[in-house]
Amino acid sequence: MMRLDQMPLHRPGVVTRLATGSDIVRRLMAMGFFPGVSVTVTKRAPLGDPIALKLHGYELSLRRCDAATIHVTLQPEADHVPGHA
Amino acid sequence: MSPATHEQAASADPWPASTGRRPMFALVGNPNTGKSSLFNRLTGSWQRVGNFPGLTVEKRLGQVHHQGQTIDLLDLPGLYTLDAISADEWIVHHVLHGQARHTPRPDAILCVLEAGNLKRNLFLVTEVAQTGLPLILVLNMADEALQKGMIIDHQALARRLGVPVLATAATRNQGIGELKQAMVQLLKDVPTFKPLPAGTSAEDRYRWIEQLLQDVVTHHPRRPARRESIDTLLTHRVFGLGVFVGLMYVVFTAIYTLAGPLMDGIDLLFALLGQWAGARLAAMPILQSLVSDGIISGVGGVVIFLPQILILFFFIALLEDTGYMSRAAFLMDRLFSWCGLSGKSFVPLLSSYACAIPGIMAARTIEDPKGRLTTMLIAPLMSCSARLPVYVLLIGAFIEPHHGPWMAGLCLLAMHFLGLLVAMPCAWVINRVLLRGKATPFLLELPPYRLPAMRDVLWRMYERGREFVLRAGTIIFALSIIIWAMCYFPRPAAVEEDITRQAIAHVMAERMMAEPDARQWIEEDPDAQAQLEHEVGRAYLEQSYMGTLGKAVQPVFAPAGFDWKITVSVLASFPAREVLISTMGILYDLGGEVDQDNPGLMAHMRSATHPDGRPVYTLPVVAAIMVFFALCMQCASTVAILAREAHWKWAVFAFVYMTTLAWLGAVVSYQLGSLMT
Repeated sequence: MMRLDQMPLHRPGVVTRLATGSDIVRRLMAMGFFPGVSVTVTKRAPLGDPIALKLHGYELSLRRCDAATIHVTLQPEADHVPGHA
Repeated sequence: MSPATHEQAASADPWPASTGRRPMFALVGNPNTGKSSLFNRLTGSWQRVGNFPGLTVEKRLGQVHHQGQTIDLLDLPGLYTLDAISADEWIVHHVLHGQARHTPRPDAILCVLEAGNLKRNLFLVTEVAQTGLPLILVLNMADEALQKGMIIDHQALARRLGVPVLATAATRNQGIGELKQAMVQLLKDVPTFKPLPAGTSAEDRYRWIEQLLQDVVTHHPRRPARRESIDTLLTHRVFGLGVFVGLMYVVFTAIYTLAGPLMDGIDLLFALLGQWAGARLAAMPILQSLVSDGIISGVGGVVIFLPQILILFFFIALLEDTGYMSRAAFLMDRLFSWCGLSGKSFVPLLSSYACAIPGIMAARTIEDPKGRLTTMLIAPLMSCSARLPVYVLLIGAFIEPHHGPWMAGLCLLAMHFLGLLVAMPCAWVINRVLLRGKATPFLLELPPYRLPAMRDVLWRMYERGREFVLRAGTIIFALSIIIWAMCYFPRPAAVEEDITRQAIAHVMAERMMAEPDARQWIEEDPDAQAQLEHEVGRAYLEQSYMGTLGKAVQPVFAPAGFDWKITVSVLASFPAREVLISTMGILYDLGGEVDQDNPGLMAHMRSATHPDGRPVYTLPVVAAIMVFFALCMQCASTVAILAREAHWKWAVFAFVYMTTLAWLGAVVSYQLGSLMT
């Protein structure tokens, strides 16, 4: 269990929960973040922030502080299924 | 929850066609779906742009012509959800629900989706469907989806949803005819589909969408996208930043340098025009000055911005349509997030280093209204190219002779950084203290790289130029006339007589001539004639409202070490910053044609003294002038563009806060400098 901003690059994860009570959550949910969604961090900006990630087949950039409101579990390496997230 | 089934509307509202009003479709969709390309293809040149009242977001209205029918098309801002945060997003919700006062409720909606990205795009559709308006789904960028290996069964989707579903590739002009046909068709039979209940959660909507798309979308993965590796390269820590710096350098140089010859050409053209008109009107001096120095100068002062604006917006449109702009914002965001801005502020602020007018206009690319306004308000602090001549004059006259070229270069660099150094804390203050209300969170989509359609890029460039001339140009022109009047009137004839009499007396004494001979001598000697003209010019400026104002305001600037000539020059530079130099030229009897390299002007300034013999231009004074000039908003065009892009109240606010900052900076520089020397 970790937060989205802690996820290593290119390892798919699954969203477990979204922190409640933050303004950005509504917007994140509209963008497709909810428990069970597959998400992969694709890159980090040179200065460390923001990060870019793939979900539902598109790529989104998020600041680390906002990414920290999303909790994920990493999918085990062996079960890594290639293809769209 | 199973996809809804088709339902014919039981009792359709009377169609607008029957009431004589033209039917109106609204164009709704996510950002990056090619909505504006589609709008352009559907409406051709039948479009106009305005603002939603009270907002800074664009309202674009056009007409679609098909088989003798005309349909109005309203382009609404791109957004991800109707559940809005900022006022700019709420307008879409209000318009679709018929709650916007100045915009009638649309009769139907064209939902534009990115064919290769259906899941997230359909989320908005589920919300839009709740408005009860008839829909057509347009799967745009269908060519890209095909390339990705996606096969979309449009008929199945249409069947399941109960609305027409069409595929288009707007940049290639594919599917447009069919879409127009479908729009006309919608006017005849009105399908609706039962939307999801209003309170449905986001998660449930996405599950509904997933079920909807099952067996409708199939994937045949092609070879891995080359574009992915390009993207990794372009966002790479070293290479990505390198490419970014290189690109920004190209853009900036183009504005700063390429525009130069064009601007010089425009200057020349209008100067010639002014001379031509002046010669024609020599008999009527007031009219001559009004036309030549007021009107022609004023129009020239608007047109001169066009090269920079067109070049900048050409590049912005190009960078946006290729998808690179998001990467640029992604790379730069860390530099800006701490003061309430985002990476999207980079290009507007960078362009402001060339000229704040296109920079402020470029701030429109920032979706977050708070960030957009803050960027616009600090953009004039970036040391624009018009400040450069003043720095060069002062540094060249006072710093280089005593401290050498290295020090001079360092000073120049320091002046450029000063604005930036002050701007960022100002942004922080403006964001925290002034602009309450929620900031739209930084959720930046990184769209796939695309080849832009030149037609759309050039159209956007043209639109920005036209908008500038029509909307800001009028204000700039009006301000030019007002300032002309302030520098011209009251113009009592006694002034010229006095100066002429003085000059004659001077020649009489020097050359031992009688009065009539002296008068004749002055009229025949071209240097003496020129000198007389300059002196008369100076006297007139002193007498004018501007001059009187400068002298009246002088006490305010005394703590900064300014004398009245400096104050008047600073005030008179409001029409355009460079005018400071020509005003100084006039006030030192050299005429207004001097530039920053004029040795005569420098010599005069070096030897200028106060009545009590103290030199006017000491190092602290020079520092104070430069600091003031760096931070002040002596630029009518900037005021005008802020008034248009934001609001008059913000233009006034910016003028006041920057002038105050400039004054404080000048006073501190002078006082501290005097203490140290």
